[in-house]
Amino acid sequence: MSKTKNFIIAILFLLIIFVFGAGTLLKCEDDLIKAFSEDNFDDCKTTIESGVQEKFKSKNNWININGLFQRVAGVTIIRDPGGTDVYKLKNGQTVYTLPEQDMEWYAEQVKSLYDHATDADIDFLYVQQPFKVESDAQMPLGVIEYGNENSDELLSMLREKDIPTLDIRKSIKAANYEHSTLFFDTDHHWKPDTALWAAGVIVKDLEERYDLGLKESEIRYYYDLTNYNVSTYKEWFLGSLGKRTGAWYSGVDDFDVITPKFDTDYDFYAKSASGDIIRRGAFDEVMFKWDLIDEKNYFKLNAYAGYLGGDYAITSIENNKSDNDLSVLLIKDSYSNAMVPYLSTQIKSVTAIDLRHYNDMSMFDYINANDFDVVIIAYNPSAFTEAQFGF
Amino acid sequence: MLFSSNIFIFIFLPTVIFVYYVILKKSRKLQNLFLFFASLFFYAWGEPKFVLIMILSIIVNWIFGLLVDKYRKSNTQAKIIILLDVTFNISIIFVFKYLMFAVKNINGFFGTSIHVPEIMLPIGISFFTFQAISYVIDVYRQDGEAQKNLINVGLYISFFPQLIAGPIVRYGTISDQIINRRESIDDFSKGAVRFIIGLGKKVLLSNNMAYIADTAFAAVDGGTDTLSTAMAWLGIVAYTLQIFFDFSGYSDMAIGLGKMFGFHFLENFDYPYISKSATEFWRRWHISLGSWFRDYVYIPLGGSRVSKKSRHIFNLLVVWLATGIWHGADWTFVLWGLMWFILITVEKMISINSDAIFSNTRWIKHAYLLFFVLIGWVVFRAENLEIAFDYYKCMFSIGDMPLIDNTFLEYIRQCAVYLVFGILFSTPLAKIIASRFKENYVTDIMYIIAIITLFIISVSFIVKGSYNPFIYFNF
Repeated sequence: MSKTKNFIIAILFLLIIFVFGAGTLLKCEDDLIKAFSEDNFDDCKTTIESGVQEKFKSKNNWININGLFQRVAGVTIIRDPGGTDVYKLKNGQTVYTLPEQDMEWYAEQVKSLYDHATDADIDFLYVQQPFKVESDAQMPLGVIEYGNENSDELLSMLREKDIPTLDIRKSIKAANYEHSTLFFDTDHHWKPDTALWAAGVIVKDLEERYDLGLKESEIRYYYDLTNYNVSTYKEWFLGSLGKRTGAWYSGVDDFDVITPKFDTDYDFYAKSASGDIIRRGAFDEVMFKWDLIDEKNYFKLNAYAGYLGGDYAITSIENNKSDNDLSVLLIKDSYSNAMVPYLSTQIKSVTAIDLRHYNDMSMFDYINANDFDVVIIAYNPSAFTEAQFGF
Repeated sequence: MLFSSNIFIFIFLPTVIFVYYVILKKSRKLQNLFLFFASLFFYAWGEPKFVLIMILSIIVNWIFGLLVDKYRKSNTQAKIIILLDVTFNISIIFVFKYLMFAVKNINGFFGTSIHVPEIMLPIGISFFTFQAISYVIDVYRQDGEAQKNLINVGLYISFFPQLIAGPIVRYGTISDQIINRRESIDDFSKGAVRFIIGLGKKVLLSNNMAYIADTAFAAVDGGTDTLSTAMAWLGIVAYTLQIFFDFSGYSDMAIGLGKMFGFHFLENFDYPYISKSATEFWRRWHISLGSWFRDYVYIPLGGSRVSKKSRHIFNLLVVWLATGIWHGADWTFVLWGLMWFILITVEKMISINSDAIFSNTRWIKHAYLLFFVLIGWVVFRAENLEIAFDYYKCMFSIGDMPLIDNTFLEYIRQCAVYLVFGILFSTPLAKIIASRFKENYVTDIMYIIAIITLFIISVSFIVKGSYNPFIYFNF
């Protein structure tokens, strides 16, 4: 039987390498054609190697197998030499960590923009959005996560400079919410219902701070989940972290699409890399990119990006049913993809700019060229980058 | 091209197997020709320019082989040919591997300003030039026939399983196999199993140990206070396992691949970490290199059969300096080689392998050897002597470093499974336990499932894209 067992292994080995090899080559046809038209051998080689790696047959199933093995082995840090390591929190959620940063420069940048806004008699608010990790106690043994520390340092510096700030983390604590329930298990973003709630927190803070003329009853109304329809897509979404570790490691998330029960009418404009996007109609007609939500495909689709449609350089939403004239400039990160739609339920005009993609002009010039009542910077700690603070 | 890559396992290897066994099965000549060109392609994939160096080496050594065969009857002429051949091969290694180091040190010692050339190191040059030297010398010693066919010499020197990182296949051991090998289903099957085991060692054990070792050595680069004592020890234990599974895993894959095509290479590792002396360690670690130096340097110098002890020590010094320098052009490798020279020389003086010494407490011998293995790997791994000595300080708590830190806790927690299996599989314990089970259908099915599962998990790491360094590629 000794020879037979080796023979069976060899047959299975050959089966695997031939089936997956041939399958991969068939998927890489375009890469092979491109490779042979390259000018030099190095480019040819790189094209073939990256094609084989990216289009490997059943790649997602292999990632799932790897995730299952890592889970069984009790690994809570999935190394990713080409990207960012993924960590599994004690509650089973996946996350990445942020390094320790010196926040001095970032505080100076916010101060400059605040001064400019204030000089133009525009109200200003810096909103610190929470990171998925509430404390290092949740992290794997020995791992320190600096998102909260960096946020604390920035907020402290901003307060020293008398810049108005709102710390959503404190609002979470005040509301007695369980931090982990506010975020997806497999993605670093907060959930849509969290975004809706956070929008209400921001508007309430602005009203209390600047007396914008918004009625408290209306604020309660527009940001109350009971005034929305919630469609839950069960086990629908594999977030960015889950896509890297596999669904068998991270699990999958339910995905909620939250639409108003009340009437809505919007003009929507977005500037994307592929051109201008113009939509007109009710909330569910303009705020979503349905082809990212309607189909369940764990690895190919990103349901979260179905809110607004992704990260656009500029998103401009006019609420035609709003009874105020407020115009808000929101300097955003991807958390606001889910928040901007709900801000727009009450605010007349919301212009959201993502500085990772927008570089037409400085925010100083942009403020000068438009007529805003309020400027909001809303960032989570992963947005502490030079690009996103390069106003 | 790495063995542990999609492109090798799923594109190159199936293609070579198919062409060799299906299209060319009726012609040994065409099979050898195909394997030769496939091997050149394999090398060129990673080193498109340096493949010309290898081709030059093949042609020159083929000529020297023919010459030494023709003039073997004249001792003087044969020795001149061998000397020229060795000079040629060593010159190639010297230019590509040691010239920069030599010039830097000349400038350093003598205050000169000779331009230091920037020369890239062709992958595997130390391996294939040693094989080339072996070819000519073994032809002279009549351990193998001189090949009239250039392709056969080319195949011997460049055969892809052992081209990049060994084992250093001695010509005498496979000369007959070039033409007269007999492929068999049993050999192919055993080869496939061996390849899978080697792949698992590399991808699962070595790569995961590499994270710990690289973190530890990167930490000490920032100063001795950034690496705790515990992490320093964990780091070097991890490196000890990393280098073993990296290199022995690669050797397993090479031996397995060779078997698939009917070649039988000699073993390169025999559980070196269970050794009880430095002498024994080098009979178990990188056996092909040790035996190469023994047969082509140590014995021709006289070995231990010399009249003066000082001459014996000199012979040992030459071999161990050469062994150290072979591994790399840096003083760290020289120091590493010197460490082994001192240990082996002292062992020979006190006959440590005698059962009379520590006969009742063999663990002391094991501990002694393992201690120096760990100490040696520090200087071997460090980028320079300064980092090595800083690392030693951390290991022995000489300085302000903490005893234990979060990094140590993190890695112990994450890599516990790999550490345990790494230590287990670096000993023959698993094999001994397995041999206690009587072979039957149940154990065979479990074995099949285990090996295929190992293969699938290894491939999953490759497909996902995981950390994949190859240490011995630097040689």
